[in-house]
Amino acid sequence: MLKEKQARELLDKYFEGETSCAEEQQLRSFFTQARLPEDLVDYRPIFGYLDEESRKTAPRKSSKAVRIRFVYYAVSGVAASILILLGIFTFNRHTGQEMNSAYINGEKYTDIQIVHQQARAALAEVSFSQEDIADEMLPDEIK
Amino acid sequence: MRTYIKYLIVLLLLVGPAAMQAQDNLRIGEVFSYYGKRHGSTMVQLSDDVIRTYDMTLYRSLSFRPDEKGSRTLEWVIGCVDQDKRKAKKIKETLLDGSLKSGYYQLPQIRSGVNRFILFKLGDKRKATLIYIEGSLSSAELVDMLLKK
Repeated sequence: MLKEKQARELLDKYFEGETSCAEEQQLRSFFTQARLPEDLVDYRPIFGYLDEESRKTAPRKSSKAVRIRFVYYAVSGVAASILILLGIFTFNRHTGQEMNSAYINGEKYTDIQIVHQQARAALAEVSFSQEDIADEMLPDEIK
Repeated sequence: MRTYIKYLIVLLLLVGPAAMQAQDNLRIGEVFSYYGKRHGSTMVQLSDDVIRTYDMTLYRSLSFRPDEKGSRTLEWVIGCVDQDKRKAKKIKETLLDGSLKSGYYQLPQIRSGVNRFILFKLGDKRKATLIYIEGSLSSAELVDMLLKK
């Protein structure tokens, strides 16, 4: 805690605008004490006010700013959800219908009976008989 | 930050299916792309429960007649098969007059437990059949399936 003499010196310095933040803090502390020299009591409100101001937290954002932020997050969330749903839909479409389809003469068929029929037909094309293979086509492990 | 993560997930969902088509990393993917939707061709893509009963996860077949002229002739098709063949760990082929008539290729596993096969056959009247299969089925099981009973 500052002594009275030091406080007076700092006070002079303060009014000359030469005090540092630390020194102003010391002054504020000095003026919080209950018993002050009579001639210094008049200065108390100045430092009391400054002390109170410094304790105040940052002003709260206006409710309008909060609302805008809320709307921003809500819109982002909805947009992201739509994109996720779109992604899932595209994924399912691709892995579902697209991946279980047949193109015959450039025309797409998704009737699973037709698709399987065409798959069997293609397998039949590459199938072979015992005579065909004559030990040539078989993989090593079943020779 | 959370929003960016959401967008990243969405992006992955959108590009995921494309990345899933491992066969596209092979040259035969070009054959499927070029001939798949053309007049005179039949292309099948399957990944449903029925093929899973055969331990397959992906089946793609293409029956087509390669162009007689141009840059995508039978030679180009065989060239594509040949290029993928170089990666194969098992190769069985039949040749006729020095030309490929049919081929059976087992490629290295795409990931643990997932085998990959390419089947190719050139039939009558230049009709070609190309098949790509992925799944846990073994080469013996596949050959057994292809063997005419």
